[in-house]
Amino acid sequence: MRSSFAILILYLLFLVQASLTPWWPDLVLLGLIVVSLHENRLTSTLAGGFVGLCLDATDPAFMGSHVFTLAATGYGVAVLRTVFYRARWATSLFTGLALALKWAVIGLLGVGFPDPAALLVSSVLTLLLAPLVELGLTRLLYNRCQPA
Amino acid sequence: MLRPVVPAWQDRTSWLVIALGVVLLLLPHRLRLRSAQPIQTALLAPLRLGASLGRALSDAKAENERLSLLAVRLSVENARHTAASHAEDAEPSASVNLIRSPVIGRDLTTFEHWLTISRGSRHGVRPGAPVITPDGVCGKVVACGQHQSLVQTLLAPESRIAVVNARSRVPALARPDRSGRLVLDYAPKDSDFRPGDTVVTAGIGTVFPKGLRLGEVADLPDRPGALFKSVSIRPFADIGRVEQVFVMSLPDSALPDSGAMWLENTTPPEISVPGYPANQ
Repeated sequence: MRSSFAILILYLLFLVQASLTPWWPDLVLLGLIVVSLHENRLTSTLAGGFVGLCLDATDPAFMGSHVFTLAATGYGVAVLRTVFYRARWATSLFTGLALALKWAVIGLLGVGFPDPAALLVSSVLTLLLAPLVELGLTRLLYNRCQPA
Repeated sequence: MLRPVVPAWQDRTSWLVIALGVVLLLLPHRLRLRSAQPIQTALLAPLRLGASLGRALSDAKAENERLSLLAVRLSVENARHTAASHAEDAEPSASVNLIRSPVIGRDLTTFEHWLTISRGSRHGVRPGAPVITPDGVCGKVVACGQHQSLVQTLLAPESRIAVVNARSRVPALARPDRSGRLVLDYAPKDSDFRPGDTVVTAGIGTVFPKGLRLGEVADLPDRPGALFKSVSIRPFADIGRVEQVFVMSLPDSALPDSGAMWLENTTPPEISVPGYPANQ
């Protein structure tokens, strides 16, 4: 139930993201990282794959790139969070790593690199917003719940 | 610290999902586009539904405004025909211009006595112009600025409207009581009023043309000692909730019965609009 609700929230974030310009923060990525910090590996990966598929559907030229990066991000965060004690700064760290992975994959695969200015602004905003989103979504979804 | 035991099948399934992403990436471009179409249709359906609902809502609002204007025009046309059918020497009908105006303000005590509308003398509104809604009479303009006007509603204590029973043609004068209804003055004791009768404007004042719908007879309280019949009228227009009104702009030649000076012509209060001379 809790996992379904988390995926629903991610889908809603995708709907919001789909109506924003590339300059806005990556809300889907932030939501996925928060979900992955609390869900198990499989749920995190499936959630990443699902929202990745949603993002790919909006632009078929990128088909598969978002599925790969977001599923890998979900899985990676779910694995890494068990390695060390999860402090507040961990969210920003995971966000930075995920952003680097996402744009490196898109750049390396040659499916097109967005406007560097938009990328920079969006990434900075995403990083700045990470602690706030973590706080808000954790309270909304995982209040008084232990990580899976 | 013990690390949680993660079932191997979870990891294997996760890797499968990640691999699926790679497979999708390696698909030929044409196949990628073809496979994206059904996924796009399914996943973006809520977004499309929201957009189409927004469009439908906007269309419905425009249609509602159009029909509202049409209803008022038909109401005025109906009033004119009614007046013509009851007057032997009916004048040829003059063109009536309806000025649609949103309500942008109300008096702060009752919300029902005074309205401010966002049309003024620049738009052709003049003091004394009748103000109506699709349901019935709303009031009259008592003061105009260039872009705003003040409307005295039929529920304002100063309001008086000459009316007639649409069925029995008994004339009377409508004034507001304190319960959001109107009462009739000077209705003869033996006059024919029945609950449900429609009361329309009489057209014998200098403000309202003949035949505009005002309200219906709601109650006939029995007062044995009274000199006149006691009639309570429920107005058709919901003054407390009206958001849009229509100001009737009549040409000078079509002003109703300007020779008769009835009590409809009550003096408007002294109102000063900042930046504009009083009684403009």
